[in-house]
Amino acid sequence: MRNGFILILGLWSVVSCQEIKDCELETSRDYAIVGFYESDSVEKEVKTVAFAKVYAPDYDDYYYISSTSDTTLTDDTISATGLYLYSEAETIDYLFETDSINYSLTIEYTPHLRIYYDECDPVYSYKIDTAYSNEFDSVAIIYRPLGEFQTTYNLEVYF
Amino acid sequence: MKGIQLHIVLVAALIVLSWKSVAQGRLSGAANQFSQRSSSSSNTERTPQGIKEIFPPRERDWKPSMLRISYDAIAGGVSVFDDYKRRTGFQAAMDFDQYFLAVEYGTESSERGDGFGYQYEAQGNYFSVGPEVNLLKNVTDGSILTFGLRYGQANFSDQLTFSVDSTFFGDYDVSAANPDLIARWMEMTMHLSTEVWKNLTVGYTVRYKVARKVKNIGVMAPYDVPGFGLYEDNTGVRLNFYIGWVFRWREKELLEEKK
Repeated sequence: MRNGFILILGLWSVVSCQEIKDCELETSRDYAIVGFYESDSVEKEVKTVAFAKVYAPDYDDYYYISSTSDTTLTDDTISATGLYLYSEAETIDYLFETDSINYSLTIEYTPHLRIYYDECDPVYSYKIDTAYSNEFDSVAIIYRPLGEFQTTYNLEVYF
Repeated sequence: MKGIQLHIVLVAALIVLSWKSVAQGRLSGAANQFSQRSSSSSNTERTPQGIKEIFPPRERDWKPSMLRISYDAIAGGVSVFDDYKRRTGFQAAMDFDQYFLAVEYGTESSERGDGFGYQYEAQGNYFSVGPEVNLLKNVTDGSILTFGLRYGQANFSDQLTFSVDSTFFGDYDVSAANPDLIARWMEMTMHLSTEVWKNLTVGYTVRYKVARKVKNIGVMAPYDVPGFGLYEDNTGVRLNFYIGWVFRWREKELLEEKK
């Protein structure tokens, strides 16, 4: 009786302590979230802006948003946007085109590659090292890791 | 953490079975000697002097008397039955009084990702070295039960290739490598073995590995660490089953008080 109890307890311990391997459960993402704010306001005021095109010139086949290229876009005003990071580089330049002026934003980052479970795809995670711009008034780094469950923007851009 | 719980259960069962079959029978003689000494000297006062009369300090015998060289049969089994892993492992131990200096060396290679869309390979060698204390110091038939502390190190490399499916940049192939990785850790060991025929010994070592550090990591984190286990685990448990031979060049006196 006692041996049976110990055996069952041992088996229960083995089964209950196994990790759950969910390949869809990613904790990191491959884009930084950038919020736009008015630079000359006393209170922190969100800025809603319409860019003609947001893209990375080094990878100009792809764009994040473009009212000129995407005719189906009915509302191109945004107050925040996601900027993808390329895993095979450690810096990326983005260009924000408007009718009057083009803004550039450079993000330097550290990619990290890891196999969490051997039955799942390898996963990249990123951490922002620095970000700067010659055209925006200021760029603030709020949260360096690009996390799936983050509650703040990664970058705040004031202009 | 994969399989650690199973290891613990198996190791606990092995310890119980081995202790019953080896230590219990062989220690009965020593226990009898102890009870005889205690009863024969029951009139001796339990003062430091009296205790010295019961257990007079023995002379240390630091001169080595044997060298035990062993092959890790579990590593050999893994190489035979696992299509994606190759392991070899050897261990040597030399006695100094009731202590041993143990050295372990092995090689490991592993492949992962077959059928999962990536290819990962790791290969390298490892060693560990450290002292052990033999608790069966009064047993002369070759059975030993040791506890030890070791420093472990692995020199290895790994490579990973796979295809990234990016929302923004499209599909592209990625290749990453760590050519010169060095892992260091500490391990606590328990070794139990006995001589089954002439100088042929069989036994096992249970290791609990802690304080794992890895140097020279690039963009990619390693997955397998030779001699340690998975990189994602900061601690590790491993069981080695050894088949070995004892080269003995002199008989050692019983490590108890002189009669």
